[in-house]
Amino acid sequence: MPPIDRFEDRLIAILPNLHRFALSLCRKHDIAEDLVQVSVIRALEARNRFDPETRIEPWVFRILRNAWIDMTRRGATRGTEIEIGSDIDPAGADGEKVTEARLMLNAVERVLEEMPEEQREVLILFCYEEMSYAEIAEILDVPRGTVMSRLARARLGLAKKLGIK
Amino acid sequence: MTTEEYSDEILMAYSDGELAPDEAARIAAKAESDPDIAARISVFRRTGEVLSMAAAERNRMAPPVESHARIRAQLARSSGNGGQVVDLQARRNRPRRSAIWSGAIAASIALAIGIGGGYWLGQQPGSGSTGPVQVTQLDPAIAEKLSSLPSGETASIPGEVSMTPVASFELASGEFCREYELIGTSGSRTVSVACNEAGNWKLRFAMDAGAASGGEYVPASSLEILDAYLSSSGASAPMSEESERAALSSLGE
Repeated sequence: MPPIDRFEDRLIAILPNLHRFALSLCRKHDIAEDLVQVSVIRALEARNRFDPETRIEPWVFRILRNAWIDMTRRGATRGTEIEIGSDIDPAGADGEKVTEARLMLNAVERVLEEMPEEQREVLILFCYEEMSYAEIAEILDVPRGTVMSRLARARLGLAKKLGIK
Repeated sequence: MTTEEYSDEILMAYSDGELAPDEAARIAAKAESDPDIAARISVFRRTGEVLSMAAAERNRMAPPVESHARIRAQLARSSGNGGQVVDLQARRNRPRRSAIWSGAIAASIALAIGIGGGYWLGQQPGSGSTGPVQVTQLDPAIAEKLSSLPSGETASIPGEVSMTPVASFELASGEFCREYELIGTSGSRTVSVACNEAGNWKLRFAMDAGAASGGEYVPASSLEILDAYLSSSGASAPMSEESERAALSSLGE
């Protein structure tokens, strides 16, 4: 057998990415942890349907997103959201120098909060998770053109709010 | 001006490098001669830069997720068995918070009660008999590794083949405990839990986990017993690498 990366190792490598994406969907840490665990289990169960020649992220992200949809359908959890940014220390509170990057992040997170869900989702997948248009289309199960129009609207909205010209 | 040819989507795709080369060349040529097009492209480029900067900072600030240490440990040693072990692990991680796993924990405790052989509590691995629960002093070489070796790393032990800490956690009582695997010279594999009592490592749980030959790993069914033990002891989710490092270094004080 040629020594290719084990499926398990590829899953391990993307755990932080999965958690981030889960958090962007559900906005609660404990639910995000559940989502990641459920997704890992489902990914292992469905491993035979994964093409090892492709990137694993979009494939598992799609599983995770479907798990989230299942969870919300089953009468869960939205509605008692907490601020997604609450795991980030208030700027400067810990005595750390407030960097430009931190201010930028805070500003971006505020804009994301106000954004329509479908735009926020593509923006997070594209910019935070560095997915291609085609990969996002696969995760969301929508045409590539739809991804592009949502992403363009999201970026123009962001530019306007942040005064980017 | 904003024709379909130079729609927001097309200009964005250009700035993101998502266009086919010939189309990208066409847009590049247009941007050279049309400052308006160039400015619209630049908005997408700038938003991309701002978001990458935010993403980098976001990842830098994100706290480690405790439950990942356990999933990692389990994935690392589950060898193509279709996820059973991780399923068990997920239950162990979340004894209180999530109803998803609670039925399964009950099932694994029932299984532990129902099984006669193959595990024993509070006894030195290899001592054979199944006596009452007692606290047992560990081999000093193993104890030394428990105080120093991070989870996931393997050390050789005199008289044994190897020893690998799997995870660190706290019991409800606040005691610092570690799960580890010991491979014996005969090929035996023992999964144990030891806790630190005032500087001394005491064995709390040990289980014969089957032969270590041929890369075969602990069958999920036997780990259910460990699972039940940890649940009943109020074990926390496994510590992150960082928390473990802190806990280990404070042992020496």
